[in-house]
Amino acid sequence: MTSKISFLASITANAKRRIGLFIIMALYFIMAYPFSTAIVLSNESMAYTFRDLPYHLGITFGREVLGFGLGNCFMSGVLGIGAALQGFVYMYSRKKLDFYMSVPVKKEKHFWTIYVNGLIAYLFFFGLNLALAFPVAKVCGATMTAYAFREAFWGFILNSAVYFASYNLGILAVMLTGNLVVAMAASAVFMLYDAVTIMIVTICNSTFFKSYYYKTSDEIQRFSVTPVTRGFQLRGSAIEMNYLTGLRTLDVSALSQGLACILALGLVILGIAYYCYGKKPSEACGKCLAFPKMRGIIKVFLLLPASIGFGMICYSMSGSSKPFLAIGALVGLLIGHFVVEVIYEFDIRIFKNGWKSFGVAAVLVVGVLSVYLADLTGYDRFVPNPGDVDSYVVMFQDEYRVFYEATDSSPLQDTDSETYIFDHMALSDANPICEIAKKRMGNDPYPDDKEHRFRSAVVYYRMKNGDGIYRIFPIDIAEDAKEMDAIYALPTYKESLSLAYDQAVLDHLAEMDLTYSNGFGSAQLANDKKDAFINAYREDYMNMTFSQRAKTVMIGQTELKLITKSRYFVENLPIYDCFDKTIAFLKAENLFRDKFLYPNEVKKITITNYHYELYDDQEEYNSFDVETTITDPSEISEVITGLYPMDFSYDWNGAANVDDSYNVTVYPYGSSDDADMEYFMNGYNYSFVKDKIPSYVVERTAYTE
Amino acid sequence: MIEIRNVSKSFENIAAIDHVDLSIKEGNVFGLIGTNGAGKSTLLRMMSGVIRPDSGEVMVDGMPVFDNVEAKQQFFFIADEPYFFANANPEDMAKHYMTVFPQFDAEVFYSYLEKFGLERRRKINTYSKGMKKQLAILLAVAAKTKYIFCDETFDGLDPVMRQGVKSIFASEMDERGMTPIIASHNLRELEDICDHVGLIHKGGVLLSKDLEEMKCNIQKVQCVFKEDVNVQDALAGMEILKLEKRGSLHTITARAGREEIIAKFACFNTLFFEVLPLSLEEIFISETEVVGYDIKNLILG
Repeated sequence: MTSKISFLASITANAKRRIGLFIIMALYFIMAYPFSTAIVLSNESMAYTFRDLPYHLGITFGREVLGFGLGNCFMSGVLGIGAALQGFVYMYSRKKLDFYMSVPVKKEKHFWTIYVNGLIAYLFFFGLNLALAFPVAKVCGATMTAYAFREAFWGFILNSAVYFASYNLGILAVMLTGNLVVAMAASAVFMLYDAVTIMIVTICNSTFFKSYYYKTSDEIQRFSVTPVTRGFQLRGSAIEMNYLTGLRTLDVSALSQGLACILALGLVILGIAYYCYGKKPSEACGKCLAFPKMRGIIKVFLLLPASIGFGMICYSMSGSSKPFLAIGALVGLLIGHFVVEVIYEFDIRIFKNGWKSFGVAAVLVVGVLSVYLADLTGYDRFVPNPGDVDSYVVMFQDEYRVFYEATDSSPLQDTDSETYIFDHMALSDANPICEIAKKRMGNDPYPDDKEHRFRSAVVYYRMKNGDGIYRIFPIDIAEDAKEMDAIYALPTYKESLSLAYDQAVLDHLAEMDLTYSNGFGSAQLANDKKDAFINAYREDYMNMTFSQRAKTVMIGQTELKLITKSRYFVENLPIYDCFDKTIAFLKAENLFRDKFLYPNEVKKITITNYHYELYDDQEEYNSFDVETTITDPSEISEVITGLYPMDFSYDWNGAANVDDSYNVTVYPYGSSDDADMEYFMNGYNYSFVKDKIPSYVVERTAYTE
Repeated sequence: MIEIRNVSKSFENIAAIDHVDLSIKEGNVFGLIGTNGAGKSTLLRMMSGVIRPDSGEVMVDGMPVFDNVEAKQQFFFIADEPYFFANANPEDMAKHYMTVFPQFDAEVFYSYLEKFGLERRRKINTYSKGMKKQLAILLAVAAKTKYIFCDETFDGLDPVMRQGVKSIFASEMDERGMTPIIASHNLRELEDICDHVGLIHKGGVLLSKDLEEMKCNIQKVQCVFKEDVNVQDALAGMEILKLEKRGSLHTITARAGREEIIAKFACFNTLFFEVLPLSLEEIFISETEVVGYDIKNLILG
């Protein structure tokens, strides 16, 4: 009883002396929650109109204010470090050490008194202001939803976990150092080291490995030990924005695992910090490091990324020169050695010490760079055994976008095509892709080859041992067609690529419009025809082979207008010239248009030839644009047969078939005659299909000096 | 009793304390004197449990002191620069000490505070250096610990305050047997108050004796011989700490009893000789000269 009371009394007394910490916590959380709630909801109310504003405000409150946002995650890390430094800063003052160590108080009691106060300060003000945010939201007109409470709960748990782990990291920094400035630097190193290392590894991978794909860094981040980095990573992996509902979906299992990981990390760090606290000598006060024997190890850890990072900068700036890579790495080693030794001794003359650790670091740097330069790990030669692959994903890098921003009146967040495809695709028979990989791995994924047509493809192997491996390599449209046809024949492949198979999208389908050009010939499909259209579309899409896909051209697209309770947006389904059933359906419904443009629709055409071929030879900047306008109906009739809508140019063959030197602006009848407003109000952009440019267009847009 | 048994402490290959053995009995005023960098503060900080020795042990009343609450409740450590909480006043500090020293006597504290003219609610960060030292001493006395460790505490006090503090110490020693251990350079002040002196030099103990015994064992003799005498030979068998000659006047500092010296010189053919008492400062200088810490060495190199 007595010891409990005295511990409480000591916490209270310590809290009184740390009033500054409590004030900072209070101020931050007031701003982060009640104040932010009022600002965000007020802004949201004024800026947008919604069918159900209170509901939308309730969702916004949960999503934007309460949730596990990047800002709050980062600040939790910063507050953790700050609280640790503030609580244990006495260890850097000889006067304070004499005071605290000489009085009859157990070291462990002193530690836990300070420690517990650091937790209380955060948790109390966080919880209090989180709770206060709800009545503020209510006053601002938001409906209280279960979603908001869920976001608050998980936001509290996850941010607190990041704080806990960061706090312990800060304490560890204090225990390992003897000086506040060095402790702050150590905290920054702890927080940033793995992020910097991951960044350097990523840069090295992307520089030296042709088959490297950026998502590999997501896999590397699983090894991160920094609380904030793990928090960011957890947020990305376990929390997703649902583009239909505007709500965040939580993978509770992944969230719980990630949370447990951060807490376990925090506990391990706390254990190490407490051990160091017990061992830290008082005479370390004022020194750089509390445990001099760690100098060498710490220096090697610091020199490695510094040297390789600097080497990579020189490599990049020198246009990939290996000698400069070596020189840069050496300079990085020397500068790092100098800086670290000076910091160790706080003496600029002392840099001549510590050559042993310099030598170790140098050997490691040479080893790491050798791995990359000679591809000692066989990264660019990796082809898995098909039997070891559980499932895989193949995605062409320029696959059409699945989602995009909605109209001006409604904000939305994107789910990019990559995320969608990687989430939905799981192909089982890896033989075809492994055959292609054997031929193509290690080649430049974007070859500039006039003889062959290549498309770069990202492959993600989900291995049976749990590993996830990304690679990127080019696929020859012609030579690899046989293997790709096998992949194309898999229903799961196609179903992962098209919204025509996404039932959630179809359930929210409000309208379907058909367009064949840049706004020309649009028509709305009747609601009772949507299912029939989708069925026809699916059939065509499923029957399409890769060989057909390699040649087919987009002739139109279907605009899907989707509406949820609080938002709406638009999606596209491409229609190809080989989609017989879809075309037949549209013809039967009198919705099909067999040309992009008809002569009687076009009032005039402006053609600009940019003459890109002349830019390489010029010594100073000049414009070589030549413009001509066509109004003669016969010429218009001829020109429009060679045009391709710029809206469709993103498609494979659409882009491959056009001559991008020309920009063609078509003005329909009914457009404004005001020269200033004409383009912005009524112009539609097209490109010329190669070999379909009339000779007189070429002549009239020829460049003359 | 405080026992320091074969304690050593090094800081980055510099031996601050080198195999020191020392015993400090209760009821005496122990003066810890030493040259600059001798290790006095280090020794006091080890006795206070602030620093852990590399080897050996420090025991307070039979208990190892490091991280030992019971042992630490036996003493109060006044550092050379005492620390007080930011924006605290004497009342705040007293409240804090009451929580860690159950026997802290607030009444005594406030009484002394008034006598010394220190305001109880005035912020300590507005005090002068001397006032802060006074406050630290009063807090130490009010804590009613058995021992008080003072690291150069007297050095910042004015003469009146020094006397005041000495009288408080004397009173506390009489009443409850308090034992002050005082490290200082101010040997004149220590001489008045100390019963026992420990002299530290370069991390080792040169001597540890009762002050009276120390004074009894070192004598200074001024004499004039009638004829030339080899003083070293004449005083063979006696440890001569210092020998000076100015003209005919010889000043000899020797380690011997007074009676022994008088007897010795009585046999010599001297015009006169006089045995003079040595101050603690003179004893300090003589003893350290023996081990090479000589003012002449410092000046002439």
